[in-house]
Amino acid sequence: MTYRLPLILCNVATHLLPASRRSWADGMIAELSHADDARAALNFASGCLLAALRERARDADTHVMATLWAIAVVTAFYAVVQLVCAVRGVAVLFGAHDGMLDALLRNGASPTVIASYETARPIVVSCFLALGTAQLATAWFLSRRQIRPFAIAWCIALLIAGIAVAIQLSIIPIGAGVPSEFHALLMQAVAVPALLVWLHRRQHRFQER
Amino acid sequence: MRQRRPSPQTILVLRALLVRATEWRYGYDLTKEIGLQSGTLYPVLMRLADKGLLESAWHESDRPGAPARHAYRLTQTGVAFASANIDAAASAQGGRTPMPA
Repeated sequence: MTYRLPLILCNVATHLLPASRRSWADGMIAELSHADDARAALNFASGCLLAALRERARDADTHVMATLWAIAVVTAFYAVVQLVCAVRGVAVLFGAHDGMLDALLRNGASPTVIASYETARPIVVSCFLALGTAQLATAWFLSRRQIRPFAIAWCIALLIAGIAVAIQLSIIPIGAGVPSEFHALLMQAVAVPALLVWLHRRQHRFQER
Repeated sequence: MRQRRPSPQTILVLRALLVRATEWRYGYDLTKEIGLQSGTLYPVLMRLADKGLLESAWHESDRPGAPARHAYRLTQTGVAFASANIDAAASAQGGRTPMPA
């Protein structure tokens, strides 16, 4: 057995430890050359790796980034859903089958409602495209911890979502048996800022401790 | 706010550091002396340093070619804290010594 594996483990521990603990990581590596033998060095290095993992799990900044990434992933998922809707909408504009139109006809929509729906369809498809793009940007800025660009992209996304929902509701009221984006968008509009406020307060409390 | 009582592992580390409070000690030597794994020892040392109870310094190694070692010892506050808490732990346990993890 050589000192190669213990050294690798200690180097991994160095990368895992938060930057503020760098001197501790260097100290751990330095201790390896004082181990009695390679087995003791491996035992020591394994412990250092465990210590680094524990420190990383306790690190407030890691908690913040993990939460931001979680929100970013969910937002990106929403964005992909919106973009898929936009792509399907474009296909409908070029003559593909329209499931929404079927739903309207099944629910006995009047010819006026159908005509309004068909007129608004290109605008709604554009809204989906813009909304998906804005939400992707939102997720990207959040994952990069760029809060100001995130807030701008988020407001743009909300505005577009508001327009899309207003158009939809002006044609088809909620509860008419036709699928609506309203509740999903409302939930997202409330949940993400609420999560960010909670995260900010939690971080503030952690720093005060 | 009520201060949390140190863990048995922290008490072991404090006791080992307090025995020769003025001397600088090293991580590997402490693991051997106390019988704690480095995975337990280092987080304890980091917490103590965060609270200003432990100071650290880099010392040249006595082995030729080996890198400088990170050395630790209790601060004045740390010595007072260790004495108070070791005594408190001893009375709470009826004088028994905490066992290594």
